[in-house]
Amino acid sequence: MLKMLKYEWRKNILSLLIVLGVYAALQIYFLIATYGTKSYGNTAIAGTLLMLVAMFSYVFVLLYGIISYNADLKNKSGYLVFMAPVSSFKILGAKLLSTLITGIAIVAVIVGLAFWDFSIVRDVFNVDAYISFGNELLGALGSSLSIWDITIRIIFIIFSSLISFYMTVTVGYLSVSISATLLQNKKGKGFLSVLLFIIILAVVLVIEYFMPDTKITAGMSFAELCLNDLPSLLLELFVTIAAFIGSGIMLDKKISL
Amino acid sequence: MLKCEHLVKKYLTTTAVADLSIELESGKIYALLGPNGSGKSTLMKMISGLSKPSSGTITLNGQKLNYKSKAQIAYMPTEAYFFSYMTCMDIGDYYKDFFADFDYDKYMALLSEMDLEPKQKAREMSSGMMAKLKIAVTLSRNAKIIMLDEPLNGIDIIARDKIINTIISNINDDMAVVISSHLVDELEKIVDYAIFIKKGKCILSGEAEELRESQGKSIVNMYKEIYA
Repeated sequence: MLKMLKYEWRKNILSLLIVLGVYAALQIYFLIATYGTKSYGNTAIAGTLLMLVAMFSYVFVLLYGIISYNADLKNKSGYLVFMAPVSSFKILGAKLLSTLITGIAIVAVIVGLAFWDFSIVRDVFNVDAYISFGNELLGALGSSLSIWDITIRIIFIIFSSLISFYMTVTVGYLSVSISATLLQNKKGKGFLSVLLFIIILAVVLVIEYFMPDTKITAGMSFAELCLNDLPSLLLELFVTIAAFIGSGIMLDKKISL
Repeated sequence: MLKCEHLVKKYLTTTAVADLSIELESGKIYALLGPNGSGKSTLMKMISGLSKPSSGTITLNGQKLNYKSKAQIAYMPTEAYFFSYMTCMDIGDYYKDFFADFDYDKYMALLSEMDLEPKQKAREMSSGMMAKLKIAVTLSRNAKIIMLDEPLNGIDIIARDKIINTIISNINDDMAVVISSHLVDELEKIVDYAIFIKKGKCILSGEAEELRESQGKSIVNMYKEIYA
């Protein structure tokens, strides 16, 4: 799988460079706005754009992961991938891992730059008043929080975000696989894939809505809040595994390039 | 060695392969003959695992094909199939990574023989160069089954003999070689066995020499008679 991952990563590097290129351009604009014009308004605009791109990059990485799988089934370069004596599950696993690594690389750069940008703003503009207000607010909240609660909540948020991300990607794989199986060499596979993708995710959301959950009450610890989200998380985990296995089986038994 | 039994490949509205049974033995060169759309490429893709039969079985040495069988089957598609970033060297590295039977030195020697630059990008190649590259990389594998789909496509008349000679000199008696081509006269002189496919069915097959004797004509003339 690691060998396949190497080639997946090499193919996906373009997506990483596109996102980082856009982000670098905005970062330059941010620096010019902050140091050049010393205008708080311009800096705020640049900062907002940077945040928007950061959010967009999540969607981009996710969609690129699905599009890359679709391209392998659609384009002749897929022959190179699927003629290798590697199991379908390892090929899909390599694709998932490659998408994750791309995502982590982008998040690392964005978070690193966000800290840097924040320190720049702090140096150039007088924002200590806002910071002290935030600290007071956190301090007030902190009185009811334990380190244990916060740690559990952070781990849970990271884990659940990861599951949600993977569920979306694997549902994308499943939609593309079903579409390729049903329509084979006919046109309209892209449209059917998108339609299936939306339907499957909508069904998951509906099931999540009707799932039993604990009522949130005042004074609930973060650990209890995590327990509240657990049924949804388990459902997403189940959908992720089922979509992964379903896609692998269809690749093995049904899909023809 | 490789046995296809009652293979059928149906798409939504068409049947590409209809109840086709063939058997390949090592040490022979097979000509897979038929016009466009007769099912030759679909058959090769099913053997290579890229396409899945609707029904029927394919076995290699008695074992049903699975992903591990791909290690013993070398398939050269008729289309360019490399990633857009790949140079000849990248392609060699890819094959080296995934196919234990790939001989990198032989690949480099074949590239040189075909006047191809190792650092040249595949996507920038002419159709003739691409055809040579595909042949070089496929023949650098020491696979049990070698399948070349239209290897002479895009190759000019002068270079065809060179390609044919390269194919002949890079195969051995442990291999079964399947070549599909419209250029039947080019294959006539080298094939041991001919398989004529029409509308997804094998309508005539046999040892080339026996067919010539029994039909009283060359493979080229049989082709003209069957498909005219």
